[in-house]
Amino acid sequence: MKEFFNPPPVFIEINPTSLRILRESGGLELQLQRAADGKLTAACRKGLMAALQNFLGRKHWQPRVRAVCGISAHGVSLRKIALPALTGGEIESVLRLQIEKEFPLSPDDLAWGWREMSNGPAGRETIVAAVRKEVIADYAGLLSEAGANPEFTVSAFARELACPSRNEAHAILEMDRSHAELVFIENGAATSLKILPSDGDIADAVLKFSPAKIIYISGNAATQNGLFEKLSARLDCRRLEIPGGDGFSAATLGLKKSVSENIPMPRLQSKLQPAKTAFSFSQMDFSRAENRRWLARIGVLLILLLILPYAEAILFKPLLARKLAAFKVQRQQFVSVVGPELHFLQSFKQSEPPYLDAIYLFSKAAAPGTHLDSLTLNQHGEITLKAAMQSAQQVMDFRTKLIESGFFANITVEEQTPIQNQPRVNVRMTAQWKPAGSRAAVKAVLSPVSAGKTNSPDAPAMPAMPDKIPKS
Amino acid sequence: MRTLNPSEKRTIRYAVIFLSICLVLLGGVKVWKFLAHQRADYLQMVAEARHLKSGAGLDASQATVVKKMMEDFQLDPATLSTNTIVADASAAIQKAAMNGGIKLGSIRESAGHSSAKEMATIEFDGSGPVAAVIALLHRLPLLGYPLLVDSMQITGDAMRPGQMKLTVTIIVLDWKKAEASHA
Repeated sequence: MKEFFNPPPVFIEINPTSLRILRESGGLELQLQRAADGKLTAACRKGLMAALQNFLGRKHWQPRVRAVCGISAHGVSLRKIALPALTGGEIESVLRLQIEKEFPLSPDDLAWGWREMSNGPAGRETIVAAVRKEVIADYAGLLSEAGANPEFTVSAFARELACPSRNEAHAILEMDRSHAELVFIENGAATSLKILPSDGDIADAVLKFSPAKIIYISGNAATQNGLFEKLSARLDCRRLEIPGGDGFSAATLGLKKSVSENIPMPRLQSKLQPAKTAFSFSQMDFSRAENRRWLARIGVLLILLLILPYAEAILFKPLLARKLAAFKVQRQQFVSVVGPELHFLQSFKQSEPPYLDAIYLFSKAAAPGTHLDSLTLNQHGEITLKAAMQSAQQVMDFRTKLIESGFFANITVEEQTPIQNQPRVNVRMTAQWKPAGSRAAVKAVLSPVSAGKTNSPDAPAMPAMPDKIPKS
Repeated sequence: MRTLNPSEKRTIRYAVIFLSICLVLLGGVKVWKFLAHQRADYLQMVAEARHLKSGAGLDASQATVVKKMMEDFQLDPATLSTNTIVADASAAIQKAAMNGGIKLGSIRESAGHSSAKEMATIEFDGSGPVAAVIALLHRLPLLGYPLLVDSMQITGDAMRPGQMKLTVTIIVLDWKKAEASHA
């Protein structure tokens, strides 16, 4: 399923006269025809395009296929460049300056990549590969139109990954019918690259240019003219064994290995300075199939944007209507039960007379020695108290405390009768508790003494009743 | 049938094109109106659903309040029965009084005023220690019945020191009428 949405990468070797393409399921080899300027002819481009599209088999809705390409050494220059100790972000900008100095073209006119050879406290040594950017642009345009997303390196670097032993310095000779490439590898990195004339004496040229004692030979013309025997006589000459079949070569296998084992390779890129560009609709070229496709996609999205709100209404309206009706019925049932219960409980709570609060305040206001005769209360808040106190002053204090409590209104001493020859005053008082909103809240405080005397833990404190109630 | 000349053919072609455009426009306007009407209805329903959703939050808080009040009063109106509530409430009052140490005297039950949403009135006398009387007054609203103390009288008992006489009139509320008045 993953491969269905993300096609596996393909590996391409581009030579002057052929193009090899390899992927998991097989390969393909195509012949190239070039014009005098080295570019592909129009007929060749057309044929290549059709063959590549057919080989890649990409659907329009699928993402582009990653194409890891190796180009031949024609036109590629290699330079060793020493850099001072730098941080990662500064390397490329310093390299640009060095390329400006070392190469005949400006870095903006080149597609170039680099690889580190050594890194020490004094500085680092890099190898830079560069080619005219038109070479890469030509191939990139072709592969992009075929539905690939190309990235480029040099095939000679990739061949190095196909070698069985990479520890010692060695050379690799790619022998094709039309050309030969020789690369010298030192410390795992290519340090020199040569194009050899295929019609000359290759063996002599190799012995002349290669300082290495070990040489690997690959390519479909590696055994012609007794080359292998000639080189074997002078050097440790080894054959790179490559499986037969279309698309298989030391370069494509090396590229495949670099991807599967995630081995970094110098990637040739046109690293232009970022330019400030503004998008202009009028400058878009709608004759290109790719742009027309994007335009069609934009059109489809706009139509969907217009239609979806109405489609949503038509699709979801019946469902929403059913859910709403069901919810309304449930809510009606809920409200018919909870609403009246809430109303009843609230009115029940509000109409609950504060008898205990009133009794508590009377007990707190009464002076020691007060004798309670009777206390009458009703739910309208009318209170009548008959009691005997020790003096008229106590009666006044008692009334003052009740007023100060903020709980009662209309406190009236209806009758106050002193008893002859006794320190006692019989008193009859009436009062009215204030409405719920305007009376002060009562906070009961249990004194340790009265708390000890109460039998029930939830009962509020109350002064003890007199042993004898005097008759009024 | 006469063969049409090129001018007539062109006229007929233009007429067909014109009529086709008119028909497509007419149909398009009708379809557009239908779709717009459907969408307006749908948006109205969505707004109603949002309103109901916010109302559901209010309902949930109301349910929480009701639950808390029912727990506070130990009273669940749904479990009460109109036929037996007066008997059950009277029995519960007497049991609470006796358990608290109050000696009960006379008990009188009478029908309540229906206009005042009363189901019955229970009047009873009793005597006991101060703490027991106060505890009974405290427990009356928590017996699990809609009881409202209409009036009460506390008097000292001259014959028994430390004892009080208590006369209480309790109203058994008609909760069904109270609920119906709200509904």
